Amino acid sequence: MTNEVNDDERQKKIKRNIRITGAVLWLMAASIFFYMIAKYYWLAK
Amino acid sequence: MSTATHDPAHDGHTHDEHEHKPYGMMRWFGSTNHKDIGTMYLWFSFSMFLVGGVMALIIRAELFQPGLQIVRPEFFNSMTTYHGLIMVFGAIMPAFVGFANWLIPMQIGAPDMAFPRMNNLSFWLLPPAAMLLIAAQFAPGGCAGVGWTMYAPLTTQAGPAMDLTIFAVHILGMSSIMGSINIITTILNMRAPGMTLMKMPLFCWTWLITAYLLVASMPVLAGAVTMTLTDRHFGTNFFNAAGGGDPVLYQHIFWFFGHPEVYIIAIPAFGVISQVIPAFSRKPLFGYASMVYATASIAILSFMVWAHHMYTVGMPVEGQLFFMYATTLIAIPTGVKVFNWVATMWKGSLTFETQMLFALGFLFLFTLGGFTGLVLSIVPVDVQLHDTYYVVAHFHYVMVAGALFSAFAGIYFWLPKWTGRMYNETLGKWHFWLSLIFFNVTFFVQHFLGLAGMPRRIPDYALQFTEFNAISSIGAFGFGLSQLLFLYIVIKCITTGEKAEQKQWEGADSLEWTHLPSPAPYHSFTTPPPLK
Repeated sequence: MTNEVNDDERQKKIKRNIRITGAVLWLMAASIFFYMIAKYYWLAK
Repeated sequence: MSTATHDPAHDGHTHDEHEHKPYGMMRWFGSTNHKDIGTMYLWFSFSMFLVGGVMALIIRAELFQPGLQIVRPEFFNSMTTYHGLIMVFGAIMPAFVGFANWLIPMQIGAPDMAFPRMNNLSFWLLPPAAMLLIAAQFAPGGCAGVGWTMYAPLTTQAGPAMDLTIFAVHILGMSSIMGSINIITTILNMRAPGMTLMKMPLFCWTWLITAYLLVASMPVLAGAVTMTLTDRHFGTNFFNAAGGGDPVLYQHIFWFFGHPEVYIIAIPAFGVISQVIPAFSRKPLFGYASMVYATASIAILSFMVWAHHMYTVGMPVEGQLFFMYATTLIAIPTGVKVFNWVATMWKGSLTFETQMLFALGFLFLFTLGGFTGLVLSIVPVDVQLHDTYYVVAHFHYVMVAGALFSAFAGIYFWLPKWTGRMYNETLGKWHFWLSLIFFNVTFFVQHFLGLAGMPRRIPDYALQFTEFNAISSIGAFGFGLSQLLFLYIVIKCITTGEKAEQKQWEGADSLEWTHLPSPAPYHSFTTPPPLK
């Protein structure tokens, strides 16, 4: 990282990274939840 | 998604120019400020601590003497259930999320959390969830005395109170997941330039690891209670043996969440202690990198040991051996941490302010709780001690002397930064010593009760257990009353405490002490701090 902290490019990059990180984590949590229920549902069939 | 990043439009402004903030109720209901939300988390947590504490005192009052004297057995079961649920999900976890909200942006040089509106929502989900848990006490058909672990088949047969409890757990889980996503995103993306991961204060590291644990384990609990719900109302048979399901499956799923949950509570506590001990030893933390790796190792191992909670369900010997060895393995990274804390103090210029006393109390008592955990990890011993008061004593040493003492250490440490005022040191020390003595009076004797065979979660017991139970109950009431002193200390600090300095503790070296005044301004680090 550089100390050129306030340029617009850097801000845009950070905002984009924040959205990507948030989306990936939501996806991770949701897939664990649905995988688990689906797994035991199909196992019981 | 709304995000908070450094705003170039605010370049060159000082903190004081940004003190404009909403007033009245909207400041709190609509707040997206990490400090306000942190404050709300901490007050909510303390209120729940009092509610859960009253439940604990009802339990101890009933157990003061053998025989049934104060409450009905069903109500007693309900108290053990909701005491556990409220303390774990309503008191301890929100307390450390409160710390995270207050401290992480300040310690990494960020203006706020990454998702401020989601931060607001994750807090405001908590009060309705707490109300549902309390409302469950008054549900038709009586409260659900199923234990905080909510094992099937009790839960598939309980009354409507169980539905309220399941809904509350869903909401609490959702809140935790939102909080964790916010914390991970903030730490990974919003550190000030120059603040590399390995330069972060250890508190931030412990929360980064904890947040991953939460994102991975909370959906598992949500799945378990959802399956319980569908078993109850939608004709599925996940856990219903009569329909071909398996009640032991619930235990596996629950503890796959439940053991990481222990570390979700303990790891942020490690983070607080790792800030306090170096500050009052006037030395940098010994073995910073090894602390990070040890914390990560504990987190990974926590997903491999869940079945040590259920040695007695009839699993194969190979399974018991695997979980026994995996559990004992956790002692290694934990030992690294304890060694590093002691080594930090070694030849340090130590002083013993209230927060350092709580940190030392944590160190001794949490280590004792860890040792009894090792005892319980040994299969033949655990088979004897399973569901006895030895287990109750063990996890209260971890949860109370571990998490709660650490939370107290953190509150005394950062109170001057949060409020701009100093607490009364003498009263703080009184709070520590009373808590330490009464905690041990309450829980140390429970080891003996467990070794003598007294089962947990019963309102009545054999005469041979009378003396130790009476001692434990006296200790519990003393411990409870001591916490009213804590409330008085905090209120007195906020209202009439002496003015605190920017760097109140000379050994404290993280950004909130070196770069921000006390109290920390409403908006901090609107431009990133210059770092070497």
